[in-house]
Parts: sequence; C-alpha cells; structure tokens
Amino acid sequence: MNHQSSTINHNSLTLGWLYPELMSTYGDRGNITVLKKIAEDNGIKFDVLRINQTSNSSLLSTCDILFMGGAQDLQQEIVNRDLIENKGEILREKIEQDTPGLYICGAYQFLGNYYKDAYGTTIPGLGIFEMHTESYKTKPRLIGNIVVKPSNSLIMNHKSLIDSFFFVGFENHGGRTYLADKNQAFAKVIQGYGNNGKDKTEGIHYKNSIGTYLHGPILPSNPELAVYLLKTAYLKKYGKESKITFDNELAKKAKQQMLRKLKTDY
Amino acid sequence: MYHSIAIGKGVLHLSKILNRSGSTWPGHVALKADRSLIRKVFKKNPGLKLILIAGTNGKTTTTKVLTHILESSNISVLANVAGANLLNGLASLLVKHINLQGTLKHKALLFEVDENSLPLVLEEISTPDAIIFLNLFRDQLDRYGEVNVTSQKWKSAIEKLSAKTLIIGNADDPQIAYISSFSKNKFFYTIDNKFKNEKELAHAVDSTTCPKCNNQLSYERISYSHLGNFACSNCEFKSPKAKQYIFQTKLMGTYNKYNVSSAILAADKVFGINPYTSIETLKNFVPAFGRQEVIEIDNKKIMILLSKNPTGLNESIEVCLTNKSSTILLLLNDRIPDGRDISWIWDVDFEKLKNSNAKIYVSGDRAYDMANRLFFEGIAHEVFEKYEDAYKAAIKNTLSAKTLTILPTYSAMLEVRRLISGKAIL
Repeated sequence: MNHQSSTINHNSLTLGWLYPELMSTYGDRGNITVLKKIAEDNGIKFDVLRINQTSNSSLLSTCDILFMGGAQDLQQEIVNRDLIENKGEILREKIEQDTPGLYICGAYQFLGNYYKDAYGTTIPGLGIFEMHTESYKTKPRLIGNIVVKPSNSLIMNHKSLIDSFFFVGFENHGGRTYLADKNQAFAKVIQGYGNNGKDKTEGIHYKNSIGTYLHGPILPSNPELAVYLLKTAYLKKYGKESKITFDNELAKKAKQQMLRKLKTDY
Repeated sequence: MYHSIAIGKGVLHLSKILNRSGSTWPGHVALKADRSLIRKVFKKNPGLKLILIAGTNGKTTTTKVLTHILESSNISVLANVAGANLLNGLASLLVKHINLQGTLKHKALLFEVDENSLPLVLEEISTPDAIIFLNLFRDQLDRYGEVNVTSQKWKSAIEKLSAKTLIIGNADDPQIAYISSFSKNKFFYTIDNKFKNEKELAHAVDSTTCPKCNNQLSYERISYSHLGNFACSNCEFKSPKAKQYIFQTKLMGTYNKYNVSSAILAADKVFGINPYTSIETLKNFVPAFGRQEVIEIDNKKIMILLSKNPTGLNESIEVCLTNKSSTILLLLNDRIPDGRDISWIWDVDFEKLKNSNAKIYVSGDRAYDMANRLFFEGIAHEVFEKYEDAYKAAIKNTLSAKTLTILPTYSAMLEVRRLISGKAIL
C-alpha cells in the first residue's frame, strides 16, 4: 500500500529481478518483498521487472536496482548460457555505471573471473568482480549461520551503516571464493565461513554492487542494507539525497534472538 | 550374531534404566559389535517383508496408513515410528524385537528413510521388497545439499536394484517419476483429476524443468506444488500411467491423498491385499497426534500440522482455511531436526492468510524471524518468546467449538505435544 505517495512527488524506482524462476532457492524473493515495502512506505513507487532467459536484454537498461539470487547447479547452467550469450554485456555496463545491485551465492560467483568445479573444469564467469571461486571434491560445503561486520569501504559509502554492528544470515555454498583485493570485501567474518572459510572476508563490495554468500534472506534480516540500496538508487536516478528510513523492531529482535542463540550454540 | 544382539539388548535395557530417550543408541552399539547384523537378521527371517518409505513430506503418515491397512488384514507390522530413521535406527528396532537367535515374529517391517540415508540403507539391504517414493521437495537444504543432488543419489541407488525390489512411485512428481523409471519393477500411483486444478505453479516449486533433458515442463493440471499432470516441452518425458483410487479418510489435504494412494498400492503389490479391502478399512483410520489428529479441550479443537518446509506449510495454510481455524499458532525452530536454515519461510505464500479471520500467534527459537516475515506480508499477529505463553493465548482466544491449528517445525512439534499432553488440560 502506498499511503504516503502524495508527500513525495511520485518518485519511482525499478528493480530488475534476474531469473526469478531459476535463481531462487533460499527464500530469495524475501529480498524483493523488503525492498518494495520500504520503498512504498517512503512514498516511492516500486516496480519489479522479472527478467528471465526469454526476456529481451534491453529490459536491463531500464532498471535502477538489480537483484539476482542463488540456484541449484542445474538451473545455474541455463542461466550461465543466457548471461554469456545475451545479457552479460548489458549487466557489465550497468554495474560499471554504478547501478546498485545485490548478487547472492551462485549469482555472486558467476560475476567473478571463473569458477573451477570439483572435477577441475574451469567455467568462465563474467569477469566483473576481481575474484574467482574454486570447489574441491574433498572439502565439505560451508553451511551454517553467519555473522559479519560491514567493511570500512561500505561504511564510508553509507554512514548510517555505522550503527549496524552486524549483518546476520545463513550461508550454504560448496565453492570457495578468493578476492584479488581483500580490501574489496563486503564484510568481515565474525562467526561462520564467508568467502572461503580462511581469510575472514565475506562477499565483495564493488562500485554500488554487493556480492555475498549471506541468504536468510539477507535484506529481511538486515533491512538497513535494503535502505542503503534504495538510497543509492535514488541518488543515482534523481541526483539528490532521499529521506528513506525504515525502523522495524521485529527485524532487530530477530537479529538479537539469533545472536543470543549463536552464543549458546557455538 | 548372538553377541551383538545380546549387547544391543543390554544397551537397550540400560538406556531404559538411565531413562535415555536416544532410541538409536542400542543399534549403534550392536552395529559396532557386528557390522553385518542387519543383513543377518533378514537372512534369518526370509518371510519378513521390508518396505522403505522415502520422500520429503508424508513419510510418517504413509507408514501409519500402511500399518493400519496391513494390521487390518492380520499382518503384524514393525515400524520405526520414533522418527529415528538412520541405519542405527533400523538396527535398534531389530535389536529390540528379535529374540537372541535373531528371529522376529513380525511379517512386515516398514521403515521411514530420510533423503540422505536412502543410498546408505540400500547398500546395507540390497533387496528390500519395496520402496515407496512419495515426493521430493526443498527441505533442509542445509543438511542435504540440494534437491537435484538428492535425486541424483537416489537415481544411482535405484539403478543398482534388482527386479526383486518393487518401486511404488508418485506419477505426479517429475523427479520421482524419472528416477523410478530406472527400476526394473515399478508401479505408479496418482490421485483423481478432480483434486487437481489448472492453476499456476506455487512459488515454492522446486522442479519445473525436465529431469531428463532440462527443458521447461508444462502442466495440464496441478494438485499442489510441482505435482500434477506434466509433460516435457522438448522430449517425450511425461507423467507415467498410474493407479488411481477413490476413498475417504479423516486425513485432510491433497497431499494426504497421495500418501494414502501409495499405501493402498503397496499393500496390493507387496501383500496382495485387494485395494477395495484397503479402502474399506481406511474408514476406521485415526490419524496420529501431531499428524492431523484432532483433540478436544473445553469444547475447543486443537489440530497439529507438522510444517517443516515451504510446500508443507503452504498446504497447512490451505487446511487452516478449509477448517476455518479460529486461531493459528506458528512455531519456528532452527534446531538440527528442523534444519538450521530458516530462509524457506520466505518461500511460503503467507498472503493466503489474508483470506482467514484467524488470530495468529507466533513463537519458537526464531519467533521474531517468523514475525518479521508476517510483518512484511502485512499480516497481524502476536509474538511470544515462550511456547507456553503463545499456546495459552492461542487456546484462550479460540472460539467455542472452533479450531486452534498449530503449525510447528519438527522439534517445536515435540515441544508443543509435550506441553499439551503433559499439562492438566483434560
């Protein structure tokens, strides 16, 4: 419901949801629900464009925010083909032009330079993020609750995230991701595995895009990050700061409940 | 063999004295003493029929229904009702019921097997008499990896089976239909078309691409989730020919029609029980507590529907709408038996609750995550950190002669059952 639309002059944002049918394994649509509700509560019209393998690539250029979720291996193959053959170039342009976006798990991996699977086959990625991912037959999947601290580069970009001590979520990935520059990490691992279970980095923060292994999903659990994406998109589109805010006690309490639980669990 | 049975029985006795509820412990110890114990017991009891029941949702209900059908035909049944469904569980069950010579007086052994341990169990018992395949949904991805990975493992396990093992497969689940097709001896079941609609696939759907060629599947009719009359848009793969029964039971929900059908088909093919006989005895079937049993307290009804994954919870919400629940209690835990990952609640179509007048209460280890989910869907609710407070508020606000429907995850179901049956609410 858009109760406040008269107070801010009919602003609108368009989100491009890449492969909603194929890349949606871990409650990914929760991220869309949250972005939409926060935007609308702040009087911003919010349109969701579902972009799939049969959609025209030019749809992407009309988007103010992009989102792509994780998938099972089989689905991922279909998506990879479409990205390499059709939509990859426009997606690269969008990301390089500072379009804010959130890329989770399989999507995050695919934006890197390459993915080496458990059989040693190298699958080229889009090469937008300076990183690569490797999967090993002998190493287990990295699964569990994860707690991270936003990185300095992210906080520099968005001061209000200083208040956000932690982001919480759940990770479940076989691949280990290695950043070319660890300063590009989205966050620092406090509990859990993150990119590779070794160097304490989690995800990537490149221009206005975030790649991460956190699902849970990430935005309902950490709505301040949704505010960050929306504000960034707004600034880019309208050239002025917006007053987007969101305060939800339930998300905070959920975060506290999980942090309490982790202390007793681990 | 004698020694391992004796040891197992000793542990069983000991665990009773110590009041340890760990029902897999005796089997664990017995298997340590003799790794081939399970195989030996089957050799010793050639008349014993073993049926494995596998699938994401409905294993316990199917086991109960099949037990009822078999017992009504005077076939004595042993089943792992405790939900202890790994190899240790099977060994424990056997240790408890065999005598020291290894003989068993039961004629049928029904064993629920969870997704991941099916291939392991089949390595141990290479020729069960039948395997019932119910469905494959996204459940506990954190524990089992992914649905596709599970079905791959099942497929290679089935390929190794001899024709002695009968597969009873759900014709309407593309993954199940596909993996069953690799069996040398298979029968399929479906449900009446009148329980299927020409509606769109629900959001939580896992299997929309052809398991054979990876192209899009099209559905003529859908019963729920990804189950229905499907055909591949590219290759010849489609719902196989299947048996279909007309029956009445106290079990609600479309998903239970599949469970019951699988039991009727298994009773027919493995034990030669005429389907009409089965259908007749089903009229007396009483569901188990926590699996749709309705109990009455102070002229109010309580129904517990285990809801541990998106498809299960979507179907439970349908039941709440059908039974016109006065109150609904949602309980979300993230302990190991529940699956640690709760992201699945975002794949549930909660907006359907807007069609209900029920008051909604929320509790559990991750109560606020559930509350947050409902908040974003605009659904009014009350949160309680303690089950007890949530339950009290829910039952208090249930209107006379109306139903409180409780939708818990697995460990929450055990807790709430204890709460209801343990307290002086008689």
